[in-house]
Amino acid sequence: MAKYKFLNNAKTGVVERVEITGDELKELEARETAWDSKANKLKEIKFNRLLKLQATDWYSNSDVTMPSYIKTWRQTLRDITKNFTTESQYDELLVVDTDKTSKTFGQLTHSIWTQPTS
Amino acid sequence: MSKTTIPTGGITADAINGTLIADDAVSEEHLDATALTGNAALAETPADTDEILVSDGGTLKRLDFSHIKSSPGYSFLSRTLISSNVATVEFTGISASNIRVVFQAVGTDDGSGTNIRVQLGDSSTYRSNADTYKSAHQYNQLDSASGGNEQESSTSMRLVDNIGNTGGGSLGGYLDIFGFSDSSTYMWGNFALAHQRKAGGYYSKKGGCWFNMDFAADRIKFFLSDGGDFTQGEFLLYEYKEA
Repeated sequence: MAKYKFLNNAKTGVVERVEITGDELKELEARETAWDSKANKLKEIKFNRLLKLQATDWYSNSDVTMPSYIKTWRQTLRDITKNFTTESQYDELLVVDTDKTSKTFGQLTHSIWTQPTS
Repeated sequence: MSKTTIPTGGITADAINGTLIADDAVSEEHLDATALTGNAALAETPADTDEILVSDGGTLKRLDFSHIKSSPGYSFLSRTLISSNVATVEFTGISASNIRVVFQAVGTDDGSGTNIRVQLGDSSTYRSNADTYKSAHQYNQLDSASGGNEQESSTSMRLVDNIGNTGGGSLGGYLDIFGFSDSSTYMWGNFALAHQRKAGGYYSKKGGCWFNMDFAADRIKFFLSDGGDFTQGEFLLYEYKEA
């Protein structure tokens, strides 16, 4: 499939939609090939996991007792990479709320991300 | 026979037209201030193409207001509206020491999230050597207290990651680059962005960058890590002017 670029000459203000060809196309196709969709999804899962763990790190302070349900949840998060291994399982973890009227629009919906309260 | 002496009373009103006045004969002593004050006032900033009379080393010329107006700050240069899918957005022909690119509701066709990257170049090539683009940023989630820091040194600069195909776009903000078309300095920059990650959450991102190149750049391009397409949004280019 043909690929295009918008070429904007800032001097003249002329904007053209130009087909990408030659070495530039080869470089773009190489990028497409090298892009590892599964690895990228795992990276995002780890990124979200890190944020969740960081948000509950304060429970580890010496003057606080970490509730058992938090301990269990943190371990569940750490075990994500053991229990979710396929790309389709990654997709399940990365489903977000697409309802723009919802308070949680754009947020991950899988129950594993929800911090338990008891 | 032409007359050499004509009494004032012998000339009727409006009898002298342009053909009877010698070239270069109207000097300051013949001009009354009402030649200026008698005209309607332009009660606003002149348009760029409004004209002013100027003596250029003794020769009268008309001068467009655009050449003398003082406009310190960001001056708009050009806009690219993503009206159809494209893999790359490029601005060429840039001649400015300091530039700002504004991103407005930019979105991609990637259903799981990809990275928007940046490269700079001149007419010969876009620079893509290892460790040419160094950047660091702080990110904060808008809807929680989570945040952190990231650094990168690469063949291009990752402007923002995990941009997806959410309707309405997923990115807004700006990237400033200082010393852009200046061959005597390295290029420094900073950026402030707000974006939605396809993998969940809204984030603010502020950072700085240094590009290990001391040539005069004249172009900048934006592309996606996965070779995908931009599908929506606008890229606006500004020049920072000192005066």
